[in-house]
Amino acid sequence: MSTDHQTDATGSVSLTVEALELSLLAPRGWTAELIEEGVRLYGPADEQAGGARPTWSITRARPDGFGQAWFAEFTAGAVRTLSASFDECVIDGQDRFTLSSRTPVHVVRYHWRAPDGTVTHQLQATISRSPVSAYVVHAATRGPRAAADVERFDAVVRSLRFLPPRL
Amino acid sequence: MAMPASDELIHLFSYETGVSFELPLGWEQRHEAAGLAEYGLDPDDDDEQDDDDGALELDADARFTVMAVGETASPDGFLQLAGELARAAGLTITSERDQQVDDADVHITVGRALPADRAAGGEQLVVQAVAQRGASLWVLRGSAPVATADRHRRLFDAAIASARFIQLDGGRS
Repeated sequence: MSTDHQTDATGSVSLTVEALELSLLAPRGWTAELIEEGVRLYGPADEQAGGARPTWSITRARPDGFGQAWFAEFTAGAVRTLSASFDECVIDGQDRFTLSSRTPVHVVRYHWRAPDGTVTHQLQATISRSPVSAYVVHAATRGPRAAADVERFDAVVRSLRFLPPRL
Repeated sequence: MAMPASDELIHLFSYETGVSFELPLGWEQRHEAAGLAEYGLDPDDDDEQDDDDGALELDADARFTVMAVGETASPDGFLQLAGELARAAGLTITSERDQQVDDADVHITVGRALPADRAAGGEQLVVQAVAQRGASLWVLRGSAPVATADRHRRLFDAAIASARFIQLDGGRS
């Protein structure tokens, strides 16, 4: 797997994973780890959150459909699943937009409270690229930096670019 | 013309150059060769352009060219190449600046020049960026009729700022 990452003057780092056909801008100082069919980013540990680190990951999957109607139905189902997965889950917002790679994205921001009272803020994004390729983003954070982290999660999603298959 | 929102941009990338960047919708790759990719407006796509036919014709003459031009042993190789290219193109320089793009040192020269093929039209705006990261060099060059210079200047500046210089296994760059 080939990766390439560089920094720029704006505080972000470009990261390209050729095997996944994607490029993104990660916050400066975050670390990247290749995972199966994906890549995971880790932010710095937050002592005020018990040393927890914000994480952002993207994985590639084979979708079971394609097209506007399928995407709308799939993402609506994903939100219903999220709401049902946690006893105290609150959907904070949703966005639908198109990346410059002309791929539709659906973003859901939500938070939930664990039995011990810990609140975790998360972002989930679904990206439909082709009939045989989709990507899912999962990101999570907690503690006093959560609001800023969720903004960073969203910015990384919006920076995504997909490379054409190499012929 | 303000630069479009992200929903109105298109990502363009060639494995021949290793350069990823964004231009407004309607632009497409028109030509590709070893180490080179050339982009222009899709002549059949007038959704993003002005309504009058004159503007359409002028926009059709705009070009954005990306080249992977090899390596340099000098840390200032990009500055030397920028000067050589400007002289070779007969560029009348109106401004120059340096900026960082994707951790590359980039020298941007803006000026006016007659096209090499005089039959291609009159004087053109030229925005030329020479980028160096490590030993690798790239050239990004936008050109457009001077009548559309203001909006194409903003468009080319944004395209250069959006560049990512991707060095891939087995890639040319």
